[in-house]
Amino acid sequence: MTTEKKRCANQRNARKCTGPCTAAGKARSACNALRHGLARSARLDPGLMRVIATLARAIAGEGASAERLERADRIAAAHVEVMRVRKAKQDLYARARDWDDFTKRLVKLDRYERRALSRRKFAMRRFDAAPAAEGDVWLEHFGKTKPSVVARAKRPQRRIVRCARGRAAWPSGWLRRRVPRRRAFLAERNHASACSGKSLPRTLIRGANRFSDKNMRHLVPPI
Amino acid sequence: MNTVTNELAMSRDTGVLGPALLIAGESGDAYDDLLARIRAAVEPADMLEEIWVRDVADLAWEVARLRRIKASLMRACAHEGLSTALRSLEVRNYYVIASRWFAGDAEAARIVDAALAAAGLTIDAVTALTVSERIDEVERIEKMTNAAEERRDGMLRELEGRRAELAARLKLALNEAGTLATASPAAA
Repeated sequence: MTTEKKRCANQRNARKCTGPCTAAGKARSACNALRHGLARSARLDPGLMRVIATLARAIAGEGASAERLERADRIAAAHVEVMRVRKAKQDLYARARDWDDFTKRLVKLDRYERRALSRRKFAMRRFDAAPAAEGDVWLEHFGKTKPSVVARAKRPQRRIVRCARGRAAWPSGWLRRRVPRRRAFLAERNHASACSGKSLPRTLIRGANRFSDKNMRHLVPPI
Repeated sequence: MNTVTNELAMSRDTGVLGPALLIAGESGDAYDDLLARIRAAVEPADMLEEIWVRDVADLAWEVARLRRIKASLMRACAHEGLSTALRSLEVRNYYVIASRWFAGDAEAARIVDAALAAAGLTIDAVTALTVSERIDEVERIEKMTNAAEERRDGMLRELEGRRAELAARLKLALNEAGTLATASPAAA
């Protein structure tokens, strides 16, 4: 068992060890848990930000609008992510020692590459599908459940009218969510009433859990 | 572990798309040749197509690299399969003999050949046992090879689809231009 004297000595020593003091030491210990840094966005690296900006300008072309440049920027960022993963793979090839560990790490890095490639593919599709004219922005988001703020602002008011019309014709909220269950309940109750030849007590359909299995079980006629 | 450094900013010959990421033992000239051949075949029209061309080259290179690595794995771990085979054949000091055979020792090679011949086996049995010893690693490499091939094919499909769409748009524009020209010959 640890003596009191030893415990006090441990506490005194622990107070002296408060981690690295110098800036270099702190910077180094901040990277203790860092494996490859691929989970962090490339945009957090100032050097890579410059690469992204250069590539985005090359993709968008000369005299591109801000919106087109923004779309190109997404492609560029995703491409830089892909290249970062490939660089990490290259580093792994260079320092591989154990086949088992090497292939496991390679598979893990492959997942990052797959995600980055997927992001880039969709960014490219959005870039290609960009509207030619400024007034056609809403067409790009037609049919989407959550269009961007820009598209919402530029979209005609027709959709809002249609929503208002629909709300009047169709119940919303609590009732809308429960209508199918209510219909099923009524159908079963009618069936049970017809089979048993007597009306069921109204108490069964009152209360918060009136659609629960426990209550529904009473509605099934005995065989 | 090293972190991913900011070497992407250093572009060798591929412009803004970043440097060719080669590993030790790979020829930069061979990569450049592959990239040039793909670029000549595809003739990229803009930056997006340049990115696809670069990716197709990178992925084709990776497929070749992974196949090479698999072959290297089989060669580097052949003594493990041989050791398993000699142990099953109850050869004495099988581990030492396998290690010496792997190092190219002539006497060990003679012992191995004699033991395998006596059991009616060939070196294929050693290869099979090596695969069974390292089946997890082989499977992972195969999986990555297949993934790289699928991605490469996917890039080509994207490129094909984009060009088909572009061709359709051009055709429509040309048709409209033709309609306008026939409707008003003076404007044409």
